[in-house]
Amino acid sequence: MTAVISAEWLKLRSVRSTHYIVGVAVLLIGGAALLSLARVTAWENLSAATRADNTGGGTTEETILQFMQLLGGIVGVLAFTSEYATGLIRSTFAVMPRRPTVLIAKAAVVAAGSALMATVVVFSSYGLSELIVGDRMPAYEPSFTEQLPYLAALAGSVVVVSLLGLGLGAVLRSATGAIMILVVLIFVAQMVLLFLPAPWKHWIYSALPVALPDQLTGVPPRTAEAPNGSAVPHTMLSIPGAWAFAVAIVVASLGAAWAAISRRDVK
Amino acid sequence: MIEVHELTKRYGRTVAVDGLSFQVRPGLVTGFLGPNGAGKSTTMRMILALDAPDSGSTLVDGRPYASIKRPMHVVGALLDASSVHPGRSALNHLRALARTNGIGTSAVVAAIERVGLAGVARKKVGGFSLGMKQRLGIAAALLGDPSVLMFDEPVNGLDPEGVRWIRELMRGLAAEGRTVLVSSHLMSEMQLTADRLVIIGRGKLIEDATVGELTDRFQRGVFVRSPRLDDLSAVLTAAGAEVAAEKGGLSVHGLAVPAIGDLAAGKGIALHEVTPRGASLEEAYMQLTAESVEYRAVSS
Amino acid sequence: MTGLIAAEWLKFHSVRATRIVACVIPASIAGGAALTWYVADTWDKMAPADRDQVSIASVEEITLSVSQLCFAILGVLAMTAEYKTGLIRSTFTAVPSRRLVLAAKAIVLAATALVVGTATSVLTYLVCDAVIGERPIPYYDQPAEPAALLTAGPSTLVFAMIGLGLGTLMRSAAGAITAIVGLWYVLPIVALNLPVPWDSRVGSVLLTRLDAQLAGVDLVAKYGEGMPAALLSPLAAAIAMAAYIAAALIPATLTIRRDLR
Repeated sequence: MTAVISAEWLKLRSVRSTHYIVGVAVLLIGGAALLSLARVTAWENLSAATRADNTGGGTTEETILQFMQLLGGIVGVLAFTSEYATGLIRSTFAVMPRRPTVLIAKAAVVAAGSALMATVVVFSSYGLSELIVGDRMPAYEPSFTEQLPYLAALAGSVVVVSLLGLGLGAVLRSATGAIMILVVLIFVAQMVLLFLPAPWKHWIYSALPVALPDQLTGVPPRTAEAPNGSAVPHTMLSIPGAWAFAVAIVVASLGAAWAAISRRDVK
Repeated sequence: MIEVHELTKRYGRTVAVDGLSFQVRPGLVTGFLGPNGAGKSTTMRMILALDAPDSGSTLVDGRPYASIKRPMHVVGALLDASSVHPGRSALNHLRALARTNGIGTSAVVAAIERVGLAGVARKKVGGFSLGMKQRLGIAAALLGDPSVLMFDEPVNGLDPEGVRWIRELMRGLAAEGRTVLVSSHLMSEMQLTADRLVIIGRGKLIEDATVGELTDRFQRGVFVRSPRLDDLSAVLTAAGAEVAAEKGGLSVHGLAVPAIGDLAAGKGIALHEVTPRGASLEEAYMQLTAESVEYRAVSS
Repeated sequence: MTGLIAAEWLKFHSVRATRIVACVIPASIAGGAALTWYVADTWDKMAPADRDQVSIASVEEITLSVSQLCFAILGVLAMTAEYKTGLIRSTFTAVPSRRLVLAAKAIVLAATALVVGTATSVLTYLVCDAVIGERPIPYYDQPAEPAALLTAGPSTLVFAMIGLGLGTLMRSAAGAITAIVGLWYVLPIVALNLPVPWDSRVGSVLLTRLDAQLAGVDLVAKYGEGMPAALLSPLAAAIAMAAYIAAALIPATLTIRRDLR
């Protein structure tokens, strides 16, 4: 097993797409720093009265969450689709006919890789934002120890999405299709939800990747009104519920991948 | 040793492989021949447990392939040489495959040197020529020092030097006592490489014989010229040969060159030419597979 | 050239992705209609005094986003699918002038995007307006501005061209689609966080806001105070759209001569 994992690790780090993803992740850290600079400048220009009924937005780590999730998801998707696209999958399964072993090794590598990437991005963005903003904005007032579980949950949600991507890639065998589904789940669904009636929109929102960190750490639902007067979708799941749901996503995704790779011929 | 037993595979309504049985023995190069679409690649994929048969089974060294723990030590296979990630270096491609079966980097380097790619080991595979990719695929097959080797159309697209290199490599591997199965749709190539031939068409076994047996069966006889053709014809026919007149001579079937010479000498008939004609396996192959060619150009 | 366009049209409509899009867009219209029906039904069942709370945003915006993204992806795949399968070698051997191939693909995509984008928007409006009927539910209580519906076509076209440009430039579907998501989702976040007056200056030239400005619709009135002001006149918006197309296709025409692998 360790042999297969180390082979998959070598595959992951020896392709250009991984290098690009790392590059984008580094840009994301820089973007987060600039964003916190812009926000704190805007905040300080507001009048005291405006500041009183405004929070100045969340932290930059929250803002870049969805893009981190997409990057993690793409790492997962490409693990299988790049091999199906090039035909390399035939060699992979020929030298390792117990296909579930390949799946487990890929899952381990994808989870570890995306966890590493997300942890580095989250904690460096947090560190830079703290340096830039200090105590000047309410979102940055909690101490590091208070923030730690939430930061970990941000990174954890990226790992969940990366394993979801792995499953989508194995089932669809098409990078485009799998990435589009991720884009819909991570970005598009949220916009469409605004139009749906309550309580559906709240329940569907709770199942989206973006809602995971809040629910995993028990952040109270962020209720707000959209410009047209309807409620913005908010979280519904309890902490245990959220953990069970996150585990369920991973199990369902890997289960579907397992069924897809064991039952189908490798053409 | 590869055993294929009553193997059947359907894709929708098309039967790709139809009740196919044969064995591939060690110490020989076995040619796996058939027209395009005959089911050669499908059979090879089923031997490697990449495709699941609808019925039947395959064994490699007495075991189902999927039950082999570290298969690279038992079977080395070259399926499609271009099935590599173009952005990865040759070295990393082979290292990733090798690691899954606990094969160290030193064996990888040795395999790269054996196929003559040492100079480009760190170059991206995307820039390789087809011949270089074939060599890379063969290096992957040799990594685990396996006792069984399978090559799917290994000489496709190679230059004469590459073709000869692969031919000698395969013969060398068989001489070391390994089992070598090579698929091809070209009889001319297999005639030079293989000891034994398994010929299939439309998924069914057409012929399973040694090259020698086929050569004997498809002998085209002996061509004889003589100033006394009529006398010679009578003598040979009396001895049981089939004789047919041909431009300037006779075509004789059923008698070997020494027998023809002795008979003619016995009657004092001078011979001006005695030419044994080798079997054209190419033609034999065309005859054998004529029925089963899937895609045939319509002659106008 | 007409032969080339015919060939590209054949390739375009005979691939799986196009068929999927041909299902996704009508499905989004049907989904919008179902949503509208639900709102109308809620209104019917309410006490007359509470009915003025009910409103619905313009469903055309959802279906427009769907057709924009769908065509961006079709634009990407028009090139990357050929690179992936190696078909591009045959294509460029048959037509050595690669820019002509790019132009033919652009024409096929642009024409389809224009027609489908406009049709989607108009159809969505007609269906949703019919479902709401005479009920005074905003936003469907007043007749739509035809300009706002018709600009859906050009804006879908811009997305298709950006997809084609990025696909040609990157030769990788995964990379190009990620870049489009960045343009479509990340840039607006950046713009919203810029200090005044740069938020409205940058926000006005965002891809997702050009169609409204092209139609001359007042975005601040539509979305409320949270939105940076829109600064572009319809003419300026049209120029911005053309600039996006140029920014996508000029690098593509310059890099399409790179070696094939």
